[in-house]
Amino acid sequence: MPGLLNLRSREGTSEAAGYMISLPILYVALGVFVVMAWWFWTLAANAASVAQGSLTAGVGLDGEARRRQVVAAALGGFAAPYRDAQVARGERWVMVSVDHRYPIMGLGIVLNDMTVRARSFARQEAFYGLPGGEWE
Amino acid sequence: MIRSRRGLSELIGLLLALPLIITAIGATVYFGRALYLQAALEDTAAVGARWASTSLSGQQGCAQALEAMRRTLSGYYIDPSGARISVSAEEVWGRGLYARVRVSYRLDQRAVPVFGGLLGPITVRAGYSTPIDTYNARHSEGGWSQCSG
Repeated sequence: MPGLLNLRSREGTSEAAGYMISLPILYVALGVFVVMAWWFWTLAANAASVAQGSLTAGVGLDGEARRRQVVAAALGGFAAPYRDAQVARGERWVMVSVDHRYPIMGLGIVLNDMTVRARSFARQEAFYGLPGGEWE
Repeated sequence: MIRSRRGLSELIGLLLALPLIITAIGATVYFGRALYLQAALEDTAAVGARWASTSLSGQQGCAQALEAMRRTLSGYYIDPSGARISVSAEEVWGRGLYARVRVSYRLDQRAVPVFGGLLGPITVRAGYSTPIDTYNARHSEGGWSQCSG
């Protein structure tokens, strides 16, 4: 009666060889799905956050707090890199931009970079007595 | 050994599955790019409508809306010159004017595998309207100006 475990058996070796070829390809495909899905989700979250942040800043409130709140709600613990945005102000406008590059890791090495960019340009809401200037 | 048939069935299975995998990746990229552009255009249209509706002189709303929308698009790394933008004023229910902004962008998808060739470029559109602030536009005498770019 043969033993339960026969290491010299060649049964199943052809399947194993086949999987040796196909599994890496399937894993790469799965990796592409995950990376792309996360990238698009991050872009959408940042687009929404800068829109909300600039409008909030435009009415004189803490726009950065609102922006962080929105991006944290969408990304959870992964929102840390988006904690600081570039905020530019003019006399009658406020512009909030996010421009962040993060590495894509695979098997411990950097395979590529993904860039997340978003911007919103809001009016600084206030009473302006007279027309004139670049922005009214 | 070249003549070995080990793993042949799995290899054939993989060859059959590979087009499906590439198609699925192509669909993800194709619709993902369009989704990103849609998000950017929605925000751009909202920004433009807000700027269009407030102009103290009544003459600069459209021009500053166009400029604000271009700045917003460039922040998304989207070429503003490729966008078609129209800004107009429409009367709704006899309750004053609304600034209506429409923006569309023809997205070149040729580089996307499978779907880029099958479906070709895609045109994404977004629109937004907001009431024209009569208090902040009270200096208007010649009416609200329209434009496109």
